[in-house]
Amino acid sequence: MRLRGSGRHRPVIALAAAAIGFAVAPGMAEPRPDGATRSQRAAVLDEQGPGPEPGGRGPQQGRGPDQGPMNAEQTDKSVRTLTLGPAGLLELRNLAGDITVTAAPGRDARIEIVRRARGRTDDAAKLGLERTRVIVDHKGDRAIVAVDPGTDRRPPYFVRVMYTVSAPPGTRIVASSLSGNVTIADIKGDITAHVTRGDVDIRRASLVSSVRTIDGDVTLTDLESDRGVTISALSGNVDLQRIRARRVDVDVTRGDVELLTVVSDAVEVKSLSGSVEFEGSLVSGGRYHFQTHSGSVELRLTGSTGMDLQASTFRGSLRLDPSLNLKTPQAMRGSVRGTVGDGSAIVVATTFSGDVAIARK
Amino acid sequence: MRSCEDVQRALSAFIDGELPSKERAALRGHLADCEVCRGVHADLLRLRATARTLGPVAPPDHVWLEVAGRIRLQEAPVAAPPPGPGTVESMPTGRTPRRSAIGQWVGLAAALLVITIGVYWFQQTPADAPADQAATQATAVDSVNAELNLALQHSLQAIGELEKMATNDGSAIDPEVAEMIRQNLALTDAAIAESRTALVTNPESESARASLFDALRRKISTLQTTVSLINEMRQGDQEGAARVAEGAGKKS
Repeated sequence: MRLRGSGRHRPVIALAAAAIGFAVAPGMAEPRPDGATRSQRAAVLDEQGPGPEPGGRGPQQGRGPDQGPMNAEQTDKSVRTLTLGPAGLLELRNLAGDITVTAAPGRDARIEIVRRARGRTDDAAKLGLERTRVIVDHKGDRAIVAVDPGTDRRPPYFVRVMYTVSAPPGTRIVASSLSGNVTIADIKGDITAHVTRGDVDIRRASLVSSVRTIDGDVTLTDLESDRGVTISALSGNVDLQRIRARRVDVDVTRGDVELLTVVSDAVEVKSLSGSVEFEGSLVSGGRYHFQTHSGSVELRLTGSTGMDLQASTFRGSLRLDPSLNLKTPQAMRGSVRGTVGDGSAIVVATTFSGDVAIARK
Repeated sequence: MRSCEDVQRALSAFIDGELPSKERAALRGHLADCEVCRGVHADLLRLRATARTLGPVAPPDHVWLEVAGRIRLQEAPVAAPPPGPGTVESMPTGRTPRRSAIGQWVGLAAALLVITIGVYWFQQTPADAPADQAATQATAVDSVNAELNLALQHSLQAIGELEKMATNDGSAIDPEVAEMIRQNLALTDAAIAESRTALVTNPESESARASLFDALRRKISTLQTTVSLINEMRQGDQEGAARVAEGAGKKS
């Protein structure tokens, strides 16, 4: 997750204060019925090379008795062309590596698959290419592209797989990766992107059902949707720009949330540790809820839609632009409530230890 | 139907009058003898009663869907993910008694929290409400606030159980992800502690209440995600682990 701004909303966490203690023990082989082990799985998940991969997460040092840099590299590139039609379903499952999808005219999806294997020797890297396969299952207008990591117990290699896809604009995309970034542009079919560790960047889309990361940033730009958008990240920043959607839900545990030029009937943004910024117009009858625990909430409202406004903070300050012309304000310590204009929208802005600032733009 | 697990799993159907008469009688017999199940039964009844106190100002649909979905989710067996191309077939997964018990706590806590939050946010007195309406709504809010303590108890119970599992089995998770989760849980704990402390000195604080609700919900959700991730990784189903991302941050 990249750091944004001064990072003042990201408290430094002492590891000793961790709520629970994971007994992390890298390198321990744990047998399972089908023969593969955690070490084998980790070999697919963790890069052990000497330097960072473009677009990937940082490298890790070698582990186990064969520690040492994986300098030998073997690469394989293949292309599959699948006829999915104008609104087919393409499911892209990856373990380690990036997924990039762009739109292209026609009825075919073209998938370029690059497998890059690293090992301490050329033979080890070659073995990685042999053992780590990409399987394509295509039936009618649906296709699944998935990585088969093989069943080596302690593989002496690491394999990263990159999917670069061009597909008809109406294609529905389901992209998932354990470690890697997902980038999707100009796709008008429904998009779902779930990443455990990696960033998601979606541009010029029409339908984005769900974007979720455990550790990674989410960027959505230029979205026009008549449905809802749900975004969540356990740890990551969320940036939404030029969004028009029926409903927008953002839930982040650690990270900042920025919504710029957003128009929606219902917006719900929650962050535990991070700031929340919203710039956009309200819809009459709409509901807007912004909440963070440790961070500020800043709303810059365009247009003249009235609202029933509730703003509160426990430790911070409340700053309401006088031009809002709040009627019948009820103010308590750290809390204010009142009506602006016809009060047709409901706006709730709350933070525990940050400031709340609301202004007309 | 003899074990507490069976009984607790059937309680929702029992309350809804959906159990066959034979099972109903067996469940009644169990409840007569088992204090723990009696307690869970009482909590579910309170949950339903609480729902009825909402009156004419209902929370949005999605709140109810979340409540219903959460309860059903906890009752449903954990299905093994279907093997697909490129996947390693996972071990058959089933609900263990421990997970079932945790599920009950999580379900109760989440449902109570969602209802309480729903009432809290959507049934607050409008600024210009007439006095009698305000009084009625204040009473309703008070009655629901009484549920907060119960929700808190269940949340802490669920959190305790989930923490045990995460602590025991955490080595299955990728170390960097484990570290990130650990940091997030620490943050959540800090938020819970801060909010609770604040409510002691200022019980009417809207922001402290909102933070406490959210932090409790978030901690349960994060721990659920963690345990799911552990299970998936242990079973070697990496794609299943990817699917766990679907649950990350999902609202309880």
